[in-house]
Amino acid sequence: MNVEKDRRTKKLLEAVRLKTQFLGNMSHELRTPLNSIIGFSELLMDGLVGELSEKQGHYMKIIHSSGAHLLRLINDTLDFSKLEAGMLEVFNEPTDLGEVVEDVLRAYNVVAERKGLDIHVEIPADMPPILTDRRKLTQIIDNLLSNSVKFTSQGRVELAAKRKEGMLEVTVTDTGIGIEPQELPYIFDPFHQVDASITRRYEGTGLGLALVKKLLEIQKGTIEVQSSPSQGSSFTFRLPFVEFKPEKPTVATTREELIQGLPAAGERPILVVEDNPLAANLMSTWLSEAGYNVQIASTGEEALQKAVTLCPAVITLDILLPQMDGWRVLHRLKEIPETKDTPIIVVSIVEDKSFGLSLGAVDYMIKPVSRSNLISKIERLTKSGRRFHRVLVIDDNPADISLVEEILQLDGYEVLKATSGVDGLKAARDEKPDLVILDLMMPDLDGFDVMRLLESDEATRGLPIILFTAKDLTQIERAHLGANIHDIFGKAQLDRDSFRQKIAELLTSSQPEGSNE
Amino acid sequence: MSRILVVEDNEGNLELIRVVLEMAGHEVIGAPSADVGLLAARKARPDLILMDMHLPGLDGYEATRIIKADETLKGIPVIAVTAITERTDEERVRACGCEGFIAKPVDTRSLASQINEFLKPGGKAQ
Repeated sequence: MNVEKDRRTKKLLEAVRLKTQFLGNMSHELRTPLNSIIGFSELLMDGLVGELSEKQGHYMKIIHSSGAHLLRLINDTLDFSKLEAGMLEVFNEPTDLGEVVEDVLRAYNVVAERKGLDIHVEIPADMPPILTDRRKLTQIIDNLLSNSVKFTSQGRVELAAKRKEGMLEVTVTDTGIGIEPQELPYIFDPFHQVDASITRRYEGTGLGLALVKKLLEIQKGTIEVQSSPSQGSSFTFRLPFVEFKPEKPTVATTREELIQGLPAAGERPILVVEDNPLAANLMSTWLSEAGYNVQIASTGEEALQKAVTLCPAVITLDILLPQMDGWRVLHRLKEIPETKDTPIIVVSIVEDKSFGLSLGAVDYMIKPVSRSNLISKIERLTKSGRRFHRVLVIDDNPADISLVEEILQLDGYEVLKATSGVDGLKAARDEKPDLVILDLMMPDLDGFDVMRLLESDEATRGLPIILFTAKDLTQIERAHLGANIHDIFGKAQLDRDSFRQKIAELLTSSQPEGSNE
Repeated sequence: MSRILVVEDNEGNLELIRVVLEMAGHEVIGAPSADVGLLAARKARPDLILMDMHLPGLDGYEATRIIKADETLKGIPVIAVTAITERTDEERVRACGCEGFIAKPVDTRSLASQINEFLKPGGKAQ
């Protein structure tokens, strides 16, 4: 029953991830031509390439503002779909509310001045910096202020903030057109705008308020509205008020209680570093069911403490953590003598595998992770303690790749394949293989280019290479081979035994976790 | 006047950046892919590189890493031109070695002053 549920959840998560990825790619494709539309119309509008007639100038403004509107739609749609998919993570950092409001207002001052609106901001002078997601707070305030400025043709717009019952309370009030009582219940619905003519007149995306509400909800916040037609509107949102107090992490105080939970020797736990309680719970359940003892750390500081005191067998590490992010945690873990050899798997929505591996992680998983994938990776690390040697084969001929793969598998190596020079470079960088087997004659980048680029890149410099080629090298070509070319094998008459022996020689002299140094 | 290498695969966007920077008095070299961009960087020694991050084949992140690993090129500031929609985007750009980024779509009115920040005073094409 549980297995079936898990399987379905997994499928669903994967579908959601694919959808969001699709939207991400699509929005990039849409933004690219828009960049030209907005940019060139701006150039023409500004008269930088010759004066325009009044009519031409007017039409150019329409093109420009339509482009800008379309861009906003794309951005809002992407954000909204990420929110729906639960893929926007909250990242709290010390934030000065006054600064955020000032930044946002800069964009509206001109419009407000032109309309003769009075914008008034009231933030108590003694308001301390708060720990919150600065980007999201900016987005929320930006949406509310832009609505107020848009829907108010005379009078004033006011933003007032205060600390109340453990919450930050911000109210944006205007003397604008207001909202009909029967419309009020729907204004936070996506694509609900009070009427279609307003959409045209005021150029909204219909997503702004829905987005604001969702952004608040994922941070345990709320929003409410009061409004009367032709009197104005007042939006009030609340967010947990967590005052930012800079302080040093205290290791000693929690050490005692940590040791109490220390597992029996020989049964080292898996440390899951994850600030999102739902994700931590899910991973912890999966791992416990598979028989592991699981410990959770929800901040970078906690992770460092627990890694030292609990001696975990494996650490899984989220990247977007509050305050100290995962990259810094990873870096620190690799510096501390007690933890520098502990295998670390990065588990993150941040797709930067090569960066993670270069900092010393043994593996990298993109969220959402599947149960089977997670368990098998952990199993491999806890059983062997080390991973298999990985060999990258770069060859444009699939038949040759298969041949090499077959030979390599006899000795239990993990085989990575690339069918072009460009893919090979990418794989060498991202996958950190222990050895490269390289063809010379390839259509895009040939083997000589690949060698040169591998050598010029810090991350792949010194990676041992064996040439596997049908080409007879000239004296000059041989002279130009770099120091990391360890041998050359002809495709025509491959001596399998000496090929295997050479590979074994090269690999036994290196540790499988090639990125340790 | 500085020599600026612009790596951008979209013809329209490349032309736009070229016009704006030339009007500001710079010399612009355009490259439609990262491979060509790397070649141009080695040959032309620009004072600054504007790098689109989404490129076919080698992408801007890879290209920047190669530049930053190359003793002869790593001193040239690389500015990512990309839509930064999230904090993680910014992290990625920083992680591959870019000195800064310019938000896409580019603002034609402020582009020249945005890149001035990264140009060394007195820097000029050799």
